[in-house]
Amino acid sequence: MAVRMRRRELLRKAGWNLGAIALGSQLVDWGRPPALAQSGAALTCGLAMGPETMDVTVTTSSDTGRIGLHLVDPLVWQPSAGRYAPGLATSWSVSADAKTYTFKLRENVKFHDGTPFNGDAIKATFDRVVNPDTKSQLAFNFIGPYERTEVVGPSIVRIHFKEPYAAFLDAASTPYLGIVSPAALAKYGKDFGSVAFVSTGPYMMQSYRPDAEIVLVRNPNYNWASPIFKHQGPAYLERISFRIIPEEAVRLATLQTRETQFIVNVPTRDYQRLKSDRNIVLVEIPQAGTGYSLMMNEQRNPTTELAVRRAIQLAIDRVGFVKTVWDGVAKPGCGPITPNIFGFDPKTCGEGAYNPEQSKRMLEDAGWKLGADGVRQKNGQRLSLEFYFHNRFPRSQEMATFIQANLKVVGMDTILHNLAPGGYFAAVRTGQQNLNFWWETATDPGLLLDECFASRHANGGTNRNFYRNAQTDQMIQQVLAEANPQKRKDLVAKVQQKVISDAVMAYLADPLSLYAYGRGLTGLWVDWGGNYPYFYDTRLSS
Amino acid sequence: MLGGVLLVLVIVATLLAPLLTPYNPLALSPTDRMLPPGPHHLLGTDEFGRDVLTRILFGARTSLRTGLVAVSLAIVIGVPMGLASGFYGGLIDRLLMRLVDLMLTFPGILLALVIVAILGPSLFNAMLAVGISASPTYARVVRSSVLSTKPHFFVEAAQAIGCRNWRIMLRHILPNVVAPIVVLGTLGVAGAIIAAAALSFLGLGAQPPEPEWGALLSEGRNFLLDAWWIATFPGLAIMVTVLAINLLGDGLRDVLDPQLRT
Repeated sequence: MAVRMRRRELLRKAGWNLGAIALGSQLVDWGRPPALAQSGAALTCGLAMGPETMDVTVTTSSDTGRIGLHLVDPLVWQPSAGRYAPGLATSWSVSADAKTYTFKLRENVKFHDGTPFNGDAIKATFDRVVNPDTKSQLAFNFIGPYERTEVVGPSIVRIHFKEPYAAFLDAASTPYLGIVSPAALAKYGKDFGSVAFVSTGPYMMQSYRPDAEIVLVRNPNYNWASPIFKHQGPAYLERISFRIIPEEAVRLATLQTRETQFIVNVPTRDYQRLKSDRNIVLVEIPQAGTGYSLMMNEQRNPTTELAVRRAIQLAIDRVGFVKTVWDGVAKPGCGPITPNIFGFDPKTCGEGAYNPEQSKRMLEDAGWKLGADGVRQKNGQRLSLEFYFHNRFPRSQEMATFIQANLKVVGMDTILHNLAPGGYFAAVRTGQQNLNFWWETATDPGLLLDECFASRHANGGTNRNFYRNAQTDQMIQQVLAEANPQKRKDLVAKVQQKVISDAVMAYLADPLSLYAYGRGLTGLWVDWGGNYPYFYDTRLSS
Repeated sequence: MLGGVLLVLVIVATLLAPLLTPYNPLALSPTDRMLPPGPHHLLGTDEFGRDVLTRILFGARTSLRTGLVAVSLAIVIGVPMGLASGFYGGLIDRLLMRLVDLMLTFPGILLALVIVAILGPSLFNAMLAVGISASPTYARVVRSSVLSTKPHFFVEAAQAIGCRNWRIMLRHILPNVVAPIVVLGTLGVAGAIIAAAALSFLGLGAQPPEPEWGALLSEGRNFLLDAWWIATFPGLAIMVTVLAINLLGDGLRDVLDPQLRT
C-alpha cells in the first residue's frame, strides 16, 4: 500500500515540476498590468543583464552605464566621432602637451540631494576613482594617468595628468566619469551605488533591485541639459523602469505585448522578422568598442605558450560562429577594436583566419601530441583549457559551446565554467581561467587598447590576459598621449599589429547594437557608438 | 508488459546508438543548422547543426545511467539505514529516523539543489545529489517492512540458534523486504531521471557539450518559436521513458505485492 501511495505522489510531483518549468517564464509576466503608454508617463525598458552596482564610477558593466547615463551628466558629450559638445562643462581647453585640461563648469547645477555641483565635487569624484580602496574598474581605466584635480574657482577646474593623455575628452563623455555628490558619498559610504546613487542627471534613482528592476524618477529641478538635445528643463517621461529580462525570447515578447516599450539586445534570430514588422522600430548601429572576443590568460598553463594561443586563434571558425551563434547578424571579428573606431587597421582582418590544419600542425610542432582520448599531451600534461564565462551575458553558453567544439577538432579539451557574475569576476580577476570572454563599449582606441593590454590593468583589472609587455605598454602610452590624428592613427595600427603578433586575444565577432521599440516612442537619442540609448528627449504616445 | 517492451526498446536504441545514426553528437555543422525534421535528419538539427536524434540517443545513455546510479546510491544509503533502524529499534532507530525526518523536511529537488550548490555543477554531483535526496524514502520503507518481518518465528528461531545480528539482517530479513525495494527502486529510476533532467535543465547537471535530455530541453527552449523540434523531441523522450518505467514498476508491484495476490 505504501508503495502505491508513493508512486502516485511521485507522479503528481513530477507533473507539477514539469508544468512549473513549462509555465515559469509566462507566470513571471502575468502578474503585472501593461504600463500605460501615455505622454509624460512611464517607460519600461527591457535589459538583458543586471548591473552589479549602480555606481558608474566603480562598475565594469555596460548596463550600469546605460542606466547610469540618465543619472549623471558627463562633463562633455560626444554627438559624433571626435566632436565634443558642452555637458556639465560649458567650455574647455587642453594644454599643448595634453597633460592639463581646464574645464569651465556650468553654474547653478545641483545634485539630486540638493547640494551644489562644483569643482570640489569633481575633485572628490576623480580622487575616489583612483583610490585603490574603491576598486574602480572602467572609470579607473578611463581616467588614465590622472594626477590631481586643481580647483581653480567654484566653476573652474584643472585636471592634471602625469603623462600626456589625449583620450580624456572621450573618456569624460562616457557615463563612467560622471560626477557624484560628495555629501552622498560621505553619507552612504559602502552602500553608495547599491542603496543610493546621487548625481546631477535628468533622472534620480528611486529603487534598485539587483537582477530585477531599477526604477528612475524624473529630476524636477533639472535645468542644465546639453544644447545637443531638443529641449531644456526636466525630462518628458516621469519614470523609467529598467527591467532585467535575461531570456531573449521573453524580452522580445514583452515588447510585442507592450509590457515594455523599449528593449536592448534584440534577439538576432528575430532580426529579419522584426525588420518588416510595422509596429516595431529596429535600431541597428555597428557597435563601437571591442567586439566579442576571447582573452587568453598568459599566466596559466597551457595558454602561457604562444603556439597554443596561436592555435586557438586558428581553430576558431569565425564565419561559422557568426552564422550559428549570432544568426549572421554580426561580422567576423578582426582585431581588438571594431572597424568604426579611429585608427582601425583593416589588415587585421586577414590575420589568424580559420585554418584547423595549420592549428594542428602548430600544436604538433610545439610538442603537443595527440593522445588516445583525442586530446593532445605534452610531458604528461593534457591540453586542457579552463573557460570561464558568466551566465548573464547573452548567448554566452552558445558562444562557449561553439568554441569548445572548434577547439576539440584540433585536440584541445575545454572545460566550461558557467558561473553567476559574482563567482565569475572573483575567478577571472585572480586568473583562474585560461579563457574568458571580453566585450567592451567605448569609442577611443587608446582606452580600448589600454584596457585589454596595458600591464597596469593586469593586477585584477580589465587586462584578464595578464599580458605584460613593456614595449606594448609604451606604445599604448604613446597612443593615449598623441593628439595629432595622423600620428595617432599610425600608432594605433602598430599596437594592433603588435598584440596580434603576440596572439594575446582571439577575436570572434563584431556585433550590431540592436534596439527595438514600439511605434509610440519618439525622441530617442543614441550615441554614435551605439552603446547608450538615452531617453531625455523621449515621449510616449498611445 | 507494455512498459517492459518500451523500456527494452529504449535501452536497445541507447546501446546501439552509434550504429543507428551516422552523425557525431558533438560535431558542429554550421551549414546544417536548425533544419526541420526530414529524410536526412529524422528529428531535425539544432542551432549548431547537430542531429537532434543523435543527441537524444546519446543523451539517453547519460539520462538512463544517471537514473540507475542515483537510485543505486539511494538504495545503498537508504536500505542499511532502514534495516538497522527497524532491527535494533531504540536509540539507533530514533537517531536515524530523526535524520530521515530532517532530510524529508526538504523537498527532494531543493535538497538536490543545495547539494549541487555545495559540490559544484557536474553530472556526477547531480547523480550524487539525486541519490542522497531520494535515500530517506528507502530508509522509511525498509524500516516499516523490517518491523513487520521481525516478529516472525523464523527471525526468533535464528536468534535462538545464536545467529549474529548482521547475518539475521542480511540472510533472513533482507530477502523479505526486497520486493518493496525493487518496486520503489524501479519507480525511483523514473523520478531520478526527471530530477536529474531538471537539474541539467537549470544548468546544474550535465555540462556541455555532453548531451543529456534535460540539457537538450533547456538548449531548445530558446528556439521554440523557430525550431520546435529541438526541445520537443527530448521532452518526448523523457516522457516515453518515464512512462515506460512507471508502467514496468506498476507491473512489478502487481506481481510482487502480496496484498494484491488473489
